[in-house]
Amino acid sequence: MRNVFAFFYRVRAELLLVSLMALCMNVLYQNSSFQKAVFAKNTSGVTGAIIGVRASIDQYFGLVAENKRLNARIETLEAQQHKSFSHIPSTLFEKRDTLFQQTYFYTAGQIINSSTQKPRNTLTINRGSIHGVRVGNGIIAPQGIVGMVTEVSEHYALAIPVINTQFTCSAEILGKGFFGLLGWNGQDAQQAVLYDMADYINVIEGDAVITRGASTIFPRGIPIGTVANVNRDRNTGQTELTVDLAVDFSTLRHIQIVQHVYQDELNALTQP
Amino acid sequence: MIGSYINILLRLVLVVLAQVWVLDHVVLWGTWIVLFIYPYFLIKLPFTLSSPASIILGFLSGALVDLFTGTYGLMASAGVLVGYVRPKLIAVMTKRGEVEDILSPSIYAPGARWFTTFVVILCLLQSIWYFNISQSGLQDAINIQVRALLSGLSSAILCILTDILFSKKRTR
Repeated sequence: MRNVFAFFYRVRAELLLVSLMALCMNVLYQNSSFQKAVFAKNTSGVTGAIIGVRASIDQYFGLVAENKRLNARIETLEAQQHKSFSHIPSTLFEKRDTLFQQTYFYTAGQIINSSTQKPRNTLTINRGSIHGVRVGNGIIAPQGIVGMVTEVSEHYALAIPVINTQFTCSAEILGKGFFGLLGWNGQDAQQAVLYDMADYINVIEGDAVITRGASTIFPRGIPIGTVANVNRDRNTGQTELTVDLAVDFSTLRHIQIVQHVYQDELNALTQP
Repeated sequence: MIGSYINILLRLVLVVLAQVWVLDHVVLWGTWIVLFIYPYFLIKLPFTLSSPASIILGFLSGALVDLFTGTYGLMASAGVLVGYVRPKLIAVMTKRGEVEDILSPSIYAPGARWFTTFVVILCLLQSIWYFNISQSGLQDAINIQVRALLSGLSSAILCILTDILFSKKRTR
């Protein structure tokens, strides 16, 4: 018996290595995200606040460019305002909006932390559950799609951008209807890959790629980018498209969080 | 003794902040190079630290970085690995009694060549583990290894430069 204890004492470092490694791998590869969500709720408030300190310093250096962008945005919005249009008095144009129902809500927010050089990049956003953000909400910018919310605390949210090897979303070619799965191969922060396309499709370089609206994450028709390269594989009958992303993740700050009103209903229906 | 514990704790905080405040935003060459500074914390631990303590501190430093990036378990597992290998590597690289009067490794104390080898091996180990765990795929296998090598070497250079800046010349 003493020998057994002596043996365990001798390999205590190895035992510790194996048990801690098992713990890490378990957390890393587990699919049920409930524990993760509870854990994140308690910790990401603190980490979000620490990251916020850096972001608030960082903000001052981008103010000039930000002002320009905001002014351009004001110009477009002014042009769309009611006073910019003249009223056409005709019964033909009268429309009572009972046919259209609001399906998506948008919440404006800012990215306060992000990375672009890693295989698993993340974003931190200064909007949380008190602003109505929930896990599974989409994130878009004026240029195109940005990512998806994965964890939410009271005031902050963590998200995976398109440039994360775990991100996937359904995409289609604008005007042609062919669709496939958009993912990132971890190589270039400005390019993503559209997988699983049939090889007979007539897609050319420069075609616009948009979201398909297949899940509750993004509405249909949000720009993703343009086709940069078409790689056909005659042997497998599959085509892969390289897509130039519309969003430049290294300068991105202002984003909008998209919430589907019937998120739970649709998810309950589509998930077994 | 208490002073050295506070030192270790302070270094842990500084290294984690440097990682999440600064280095996670540094893009040197697209996605080819990811800089890591948190192995520097493990490199600078005292020579006499036991294996279990080294593993636990490795786990702790990695887990702290993980909290900020949401990649729970990724950096922590790399930290555990480095924490385990560190004492073994010291045992292989030093003769008995050689480092008795040195508190922790630095560019000046066991020597520049010794320190460089030590840092390069640990940083490469950390980086290879990190890239292969966070991204797998047969078609990109060579690409991933090249990135792991480049990132590991760059991180090693960063750690050595950091040490030149912050180490005191005489520790004896």
